[in-house]
Amino acid sequence: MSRWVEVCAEEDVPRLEGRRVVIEGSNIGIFNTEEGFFAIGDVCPHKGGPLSDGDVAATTVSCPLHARKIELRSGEVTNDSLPGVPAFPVKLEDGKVFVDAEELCVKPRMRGEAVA
Amino acid sequence: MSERLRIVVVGNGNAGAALVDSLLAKDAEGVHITLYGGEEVGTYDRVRLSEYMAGTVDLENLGMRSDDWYEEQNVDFRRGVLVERIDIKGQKVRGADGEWVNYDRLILATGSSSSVPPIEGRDKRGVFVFRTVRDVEEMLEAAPEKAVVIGGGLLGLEAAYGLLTHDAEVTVLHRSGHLMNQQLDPPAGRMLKNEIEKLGVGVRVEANTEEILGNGNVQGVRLKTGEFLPTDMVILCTGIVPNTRPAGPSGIRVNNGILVDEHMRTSAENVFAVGECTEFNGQLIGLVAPALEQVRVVVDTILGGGETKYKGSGAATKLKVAGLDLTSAGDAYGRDEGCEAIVSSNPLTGVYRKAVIKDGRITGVVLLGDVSVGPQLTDAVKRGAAAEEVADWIVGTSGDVAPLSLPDDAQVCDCNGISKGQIVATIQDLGLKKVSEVVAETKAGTSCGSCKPLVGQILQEAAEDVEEDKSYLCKCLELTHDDLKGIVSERGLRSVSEVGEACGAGKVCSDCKVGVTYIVSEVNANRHHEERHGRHINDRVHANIQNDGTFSIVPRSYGGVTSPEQLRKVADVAEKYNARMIKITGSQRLDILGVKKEDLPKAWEDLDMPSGFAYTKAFRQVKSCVGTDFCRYGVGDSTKLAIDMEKEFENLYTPAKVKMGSSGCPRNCAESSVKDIGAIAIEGGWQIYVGGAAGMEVRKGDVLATVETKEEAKDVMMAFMQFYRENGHYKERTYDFVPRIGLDNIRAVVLDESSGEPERLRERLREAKAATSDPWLERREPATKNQFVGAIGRK
Ligand code: SRM
Ligand SMILES: Cc1cc2nc3c(=O)[nH]c(=O)nc-3n(C[C@H](O)[C@H](O)[C@H](O)COP(=O)(O)OP(=O)(O)OC[C@H]3O[C@@H](n4cnc5c(N)ncnc54)[C@H](O)[C@@H]3O)c2cc1C
Ligand code: SF4
Ligand code: FES
Repeated sequence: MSRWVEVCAEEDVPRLEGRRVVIEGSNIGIFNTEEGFFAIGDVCPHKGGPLSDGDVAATTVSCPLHARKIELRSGEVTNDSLPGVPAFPVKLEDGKVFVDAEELCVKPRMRGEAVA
Repeated sequence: MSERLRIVVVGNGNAGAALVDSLLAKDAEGVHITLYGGEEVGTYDRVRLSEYMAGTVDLENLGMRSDDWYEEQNVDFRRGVLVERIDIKGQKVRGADGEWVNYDRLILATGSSSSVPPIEGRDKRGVFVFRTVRDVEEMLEAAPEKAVVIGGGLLGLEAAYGLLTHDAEVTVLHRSGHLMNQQLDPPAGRMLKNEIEKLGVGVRVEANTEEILGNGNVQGVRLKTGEFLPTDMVILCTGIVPNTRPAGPSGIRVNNGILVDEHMRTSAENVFAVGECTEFNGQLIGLVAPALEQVRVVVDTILGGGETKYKGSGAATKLKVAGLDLTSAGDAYGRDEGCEAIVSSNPLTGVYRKAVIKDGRITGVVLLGDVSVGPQLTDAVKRGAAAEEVADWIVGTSGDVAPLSLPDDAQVCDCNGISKGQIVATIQDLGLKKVSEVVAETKAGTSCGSCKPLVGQILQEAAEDVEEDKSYLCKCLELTHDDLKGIVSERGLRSVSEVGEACGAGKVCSDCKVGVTYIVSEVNANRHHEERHGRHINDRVHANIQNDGTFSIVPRSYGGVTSPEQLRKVADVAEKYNARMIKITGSQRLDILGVKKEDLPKAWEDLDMPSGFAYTKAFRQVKSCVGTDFCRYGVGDSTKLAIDMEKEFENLYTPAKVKMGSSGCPRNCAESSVKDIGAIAIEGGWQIYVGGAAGMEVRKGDVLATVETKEEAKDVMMAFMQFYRENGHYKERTYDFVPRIGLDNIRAVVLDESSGEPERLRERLREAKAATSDPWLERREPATKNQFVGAIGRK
């Protein structure tokens, strides 16, 4: 079961940057890359850095505080043995970005999907 | 002179160049070398031609040697001169320069040429081969919109990729049913096709070209099936033929190549041959590693004991196309009776691994998509290791692979024939800590470079402590600051994205983007196309991010001088936006700490002071002392100089941060001798220090110059500043930069006013400065959507 929540417009997130949105009290980072839009939990597993302020590449973001690198599709940390962050399914419709909030309440799934 | 052994070398390709090196290394005093090189450009590394084509190295870094070098080594280098005749009885050769030169030993290293298949229309304009610098230059000059590469082997794919980086629409036509059919088995070839297509290259297999069409210029090719493909360029990559002239006509025995024995002797007395021109036991070669092995043998034959023998070489191949990992060694097919294979294949991830096994031993390997165990497996093929040893590497994920376990005699650098044992010994003898040092000392990795990751692993194993090699800015593609700067300037690139498109740097990984942004901005004198995703958060919002995600604000107070009005504003802002603290920084400024991102624009508006750039790799500030205006010892107006310099340099980005000091007398209250740039007033003038530091590193600056007036002092500091901006590597503070370049070399450029260069440096500095502005003005006109929001949808 999916529960899609509209979070922002596509144009709200510049290409290859991230922005924070708040869904039901949780901070979620939304990222816009040539590989699509991604949504992951916005709290770095290292020391809580805001991932939406990180450095973005095609499918990764590096935390602005100490450069832990997170794979946007899965939420996994690629350069440290830390637990990952949740990654949420995203879909685009009519220029709007939707995140599946279902995954927010249940145990976060460690896999995300990109939409082109 | 006369007792020296006269050696004539014909050909200065990869083999010829290595030959000269080895002969000199072995006995520089005992030989006199005459070197003929048919190509006008001199000596270069052919293997890296595709990098030259892609624009990631320039000619200089392609391994070119200056003619001076040859002169210094006492080598008679005849550049651009083809040898036309050999008199094997009279022991002399004649080049196109008409001169006969006598030899005691003659070594032929004439290499090979691209073979041109008898396709109708192959003489039209726009048909090329891919072999020399000249070929590449002509291809690039032709700047095709569409290109067809005939031949889907190693060379054809590299050519296709090279043209792709020049925005051509490229299609590879390959006759066989799968790409690289010499090296790969069909499943791997098919996966490779997918990967190549993902890069944007069109691939047609089982495509036979019947005719190249066009009226003078190429307009298209027609396939056997009758199909017509329009194109403005055709590149023939269908194989090579050994250059057997002038050996054959001179009476030296030739078959397909120049025939040689295991000591590299030809049929003529005192005449030897090495490299791609040779044929040994019916075998031709087409790679560097065996050519260089032959060089080692011939040098031993001529100058050593003559015990080393050439036994033929198994071919190992790597593809050098960015983003594609492929290794193949030994028998990839395993067609022989009794051959079995361990295979793992995942088309979803594009990873394919195969080991061919015969009689329980590994005889061949193919790796695609993940070559992390390539060196181990290639070594296993060479050793004929037992199948059990390698099975896990093939079927396990790369994470499960057992740690490196190369024996000491395993060859690590095939090109230069260097074993693990030699590398380990060099590391331990010299106490090496960085990969770049190991490469420089052992020569491993200096040819094709593909063994460098393995060299890194060996260093990890062998060294006490390993230092990170700062030399690569883009670690993914192993591009240095200078490589990237070359790409940017030669190709006129203006943004990080353009660099990404041109060479891939900064695309899949963001680590080098900020450095690339600096290069792009510096080369274009700040008239680059600014892309905020190429900056860290600090430079996207012009404040320093704190451990809790809030930001600090350090306004500029020129020369450390402030005023009651400014102090009031700072106090008001701190209160209004609930700052966590106000602090006087170590650089004589005020820091408002702990402001929310969304409050930054309002706070700056209230302050109405310019950014102090305390958050980035840029010019920071000039720490000053009170100088002549107040101090009883002051001999120079250090405060005024500090304010002037801060106005001269504000808003300028630099390779790493630049902090300055300005002191009114040698008591040096502003600590100017330990700043990146410092000015200290002395009786009758100023001393200018550069390269000082008192941070992670403590280094007393060097006195760059002693000058009489404040104006001269400013001039010197400005020239130095621009020299550093242009030549410093990203993240290289002046305390590393100054020793790297050398004080004398810096002086020669920035102090010699008669050359005009210092003034040109200052001119370029002013030009770059003119295109900058106070970034805090973005409070009024944000550079990106939602630049300063805390969370979208929240006020
Ligand atoms: C605010 C300040 C400390 C203070 O409370 O006084 C400060 C704060 C920081 N320094 Fe510093 N440095 C400050 C003066 C210095 C000084 C003294 C000076 O400037 O005279 C030094 C020694 C001189 C030097 O630069 O070498 C200094 C040497 C460093 C270093 C070591 C640099 C080096 O290569 O040796 C770093 C780390 C780095 O740059 O990689 C650093 C990095 C930092 C950063 C930016 C770390 C970061 O990225 O977050 C700190 C920001 C803290 C924050 O949360 O805002 N800071 N730092 C000073 C701001 C000066 C200003 O007004 O602009
Ligand atoms: C684009 C490209 C990529 C390659 N990539 C790889 C790779 O990744 N790995 C690998 O192992 N190999 C690679 N190769 C093959 C490698 O370059 C050759 O194996 C190597 O250059 C052979 O060296 P050589 O000295 O025998 O011949 P060459 O390098 O061809 O040198 C011969 C030289 O002799 C000169 N010459 C010829 N006749 C005369 C004469 N009569 N008088 C004077 N001079 C003469 C020629 O002008 C030429 O400069 C690549 C080749 C190309 C073209
Ligand atoms: S620099 Fe010299 S003059 Fe200036 S304050 Fe220090 S001691 Fe006084
Ligand atoms: S908080 Fe993200 S890396 Fe430290």
